[in-house]
Amino acid sequence: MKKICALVLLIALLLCGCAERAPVEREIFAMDTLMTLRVWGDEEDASAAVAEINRLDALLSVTEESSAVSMLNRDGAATLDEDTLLLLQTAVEISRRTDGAFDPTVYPLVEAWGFTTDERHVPSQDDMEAALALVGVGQLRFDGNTVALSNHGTLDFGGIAKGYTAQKVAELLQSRGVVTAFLSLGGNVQTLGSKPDGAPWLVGIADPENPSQAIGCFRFYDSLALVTSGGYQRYFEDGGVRYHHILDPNTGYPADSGLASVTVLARDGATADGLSTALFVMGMEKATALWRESEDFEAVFITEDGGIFATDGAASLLTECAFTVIER
Amino acid sequence: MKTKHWILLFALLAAACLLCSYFIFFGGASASIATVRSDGVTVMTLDLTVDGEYRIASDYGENTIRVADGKVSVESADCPTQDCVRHAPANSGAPIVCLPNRLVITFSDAAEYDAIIG
Repeated sequence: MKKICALVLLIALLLCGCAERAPVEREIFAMDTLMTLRVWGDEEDASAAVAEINRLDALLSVTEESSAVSMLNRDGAATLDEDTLLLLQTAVEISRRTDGAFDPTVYPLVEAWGFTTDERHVPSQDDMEAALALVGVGQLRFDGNTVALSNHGTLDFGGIAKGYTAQKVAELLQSRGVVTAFLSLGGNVQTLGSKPDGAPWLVGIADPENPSQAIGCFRFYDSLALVTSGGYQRYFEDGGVRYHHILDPNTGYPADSGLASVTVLARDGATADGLSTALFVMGMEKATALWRESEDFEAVFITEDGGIFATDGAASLLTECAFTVIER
Repeated sequence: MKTKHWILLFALLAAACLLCSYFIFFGGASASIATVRSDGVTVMTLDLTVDGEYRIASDYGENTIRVADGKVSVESADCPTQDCVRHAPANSGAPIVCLPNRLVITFSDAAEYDAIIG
């Protein structure tokens, strides 16, 4: 009888061990988007992650008057904290790699189109030329951790801050001993480690024609950053023409590269975020050329006519859709 | 083991099989339940098989949600962007979000993916 009891107890214990610990979930509104966090840790870990997001939101915001980036925009020069400096350096590097297809100084153009307000409109030729004159990373001067921005330009981290934040939160959780987390910061996904039950992460790519539904799905098991940029995300119509929010810093107009969306996969969150915008602006041909000379990202392109093209590294993770593989 | 015990064991196994097959065959269907959250707090669970119209008000603003033909949509919102109102009626996939009013409508089938990005 004792043996049977012991056996039953052992089986019960084993079954308890099999039951997965549920993650701590948080939903917050920050950086002008909805963020959901799933942290396989304790309440304190999740709270620390939320605090880190709120810290970076205030630090990197152009509307927070005391932030270094606000001071730089207002005074033309500022001494930057570690995070702002690192993010700016990453942004400038991506801008240089992509011939200015991504540009952290694009804000005057975004303002001219009214994408920062509720009054979205096609700018006049004069407004467009005035804004274009302020755009370009060549106007930034670095001297240690002091940065100057000439010509009254404006810096904005809108196209890269969420990716950087996701990366920083993942690093913070890792330093606290958390081995698994899933961070979804408004279109930016960052995974940390693999699921405790051994199942893959399943991240769908929105169908540009019907964004609430997935057109394909990435299946993978480890830490990765995934970011999608698409012209369908924010736009307005004027005279029967649709104008979306991803502006080409070189022309001043919404990028017209034949792409409906670009999804970038990378180890580094800020890189994935900045490059997703840049590749969308560049179009598939130039973006593919950049991919061939790089080793830090993979990408999936969805063209305006519905074609799906995946670089070979991305193709190995992509399921639930037919696509063409781009060979290296 | 007595015959009674065998019958009981068999009945339990049969019940477990039935339950499993239910989830296997019907688990992947479109959601019939949607959850409405306002500023992170669940304020309503919608049965999408029952038509209706509901007003959700918070410190951030007001939205009117409609359930019709098994789908949920945002009928009106006092927010400036109206992105949620333009969202097509849905019963699955990515959540419907009204950012200014901090309103989020999620679907019970969303567990199929960890997230949909775009």
